[in-house]
Amino acid sequence: MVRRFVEKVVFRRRKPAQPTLPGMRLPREPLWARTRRQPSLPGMRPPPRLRLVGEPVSRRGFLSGALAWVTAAIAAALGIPAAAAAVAPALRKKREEWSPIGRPGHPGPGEPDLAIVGKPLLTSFRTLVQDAYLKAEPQNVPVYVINWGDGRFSVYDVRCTHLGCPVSWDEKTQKFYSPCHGGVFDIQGRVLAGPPPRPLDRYEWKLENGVLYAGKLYRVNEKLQRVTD
Amino acid sequence: MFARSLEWIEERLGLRPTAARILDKPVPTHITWMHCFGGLTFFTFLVQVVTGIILAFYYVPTPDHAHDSVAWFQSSIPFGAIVRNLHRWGASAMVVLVFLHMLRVFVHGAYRKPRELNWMVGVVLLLCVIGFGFTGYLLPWDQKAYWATNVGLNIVSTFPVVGRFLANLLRGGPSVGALTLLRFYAIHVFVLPLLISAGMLLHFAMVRKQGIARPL
Repeated sequence: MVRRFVEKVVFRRRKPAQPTLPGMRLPREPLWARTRRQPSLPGMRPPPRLRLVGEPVSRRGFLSGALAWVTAAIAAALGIPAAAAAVAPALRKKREEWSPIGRPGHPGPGEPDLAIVGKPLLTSFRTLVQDAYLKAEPQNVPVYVINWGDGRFSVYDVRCTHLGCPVSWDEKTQKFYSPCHGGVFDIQGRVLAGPPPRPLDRYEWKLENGVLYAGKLYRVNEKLQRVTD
Repeated sequence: MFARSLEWIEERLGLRPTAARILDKPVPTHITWMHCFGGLTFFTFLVQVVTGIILAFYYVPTPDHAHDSVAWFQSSIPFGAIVRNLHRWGASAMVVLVFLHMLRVFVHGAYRKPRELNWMVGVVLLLCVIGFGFTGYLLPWDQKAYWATNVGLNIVSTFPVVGRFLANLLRGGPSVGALTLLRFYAIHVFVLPLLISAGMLLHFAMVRKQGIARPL
């Protein structure tokens, strides 16, 4: 019984078109029987179609186009959030707060006196680092501080601008030396020798109520003009 | 430009006839919407792969950090909540769809000769999906995950003779802890994906070879 039903309904062939007169009604057919494609033979021309705008679109062309657009929409709905979530940490901003380095003339235990003039002093400031899901922890950031004696200071990042090895000040030759690839800097942080592409990076500084603070890290060009914010 | 790049590749490799044979395979006329569940399961699998890779960028499988890393990903990363919830709900959707697919195959009797082998591979795939669900459930390392895993592993330990050993093997010891989390993570992201990929390849290849079963 099932088979007969299947043969009757599912595999029903389209009936040959009948000549019609105005007002004459054909017996009703199920929708799918009416829309089923006619069998075609090689070399057979498709019947003429209603022309709207431009070239007529074949059913196959329309369906594959629609499929492509739907696929693209799904890919975007899935791909954009995924890509954004993966890329987001790359766009995080730099540290923006002011961190105290020390009080010139009143050094803490184990710290150099920042009142000493004209000599790079190796010290550090503490900053809270929020590393992803870990608890925010204070971290020591080493810096070279120079008190120029006229109320101006310089706060250098200790990392060599070549590949980040920590530079050290040599009192005898009055130069900074990188231990890795022969980078040498003068007291202003300018490159004297070796591969470093730019002078030592430096921190913004301010002196408030006798305390020296470090702000944002920035880069300078050969003329020691600030080039990044 | 895209068309020209395709032409450039085609000129060298001549893949078009092969691609046409694979992609332009005629679909038999007796296909219904009921036949979509297998493909939909595969679609949810793809969603799980994409969102799972992004989660793996942030997830840490240790008791100290597992929960924090998931919570942080969801609250602090743009689209993090969407990606994680796609993975979470996609997992449930996949189980539902794979069950509907199996039900369809059963009701249509499509498991009968000559398709018994594909039914068997399908059962392995079903076990893989359930395994994904069970191992993935523990990973957020919250109370629900912890106790659900305890219950699940206690069910394993009721298996005759080797049950207790099997449970301890999965647990990495007598109680749920750091090793359990790490084991479930490794099974979830390394073992099961390889297994299910191989199984799906077989499953699809057999469908191609044998065609879609005729209705009753």
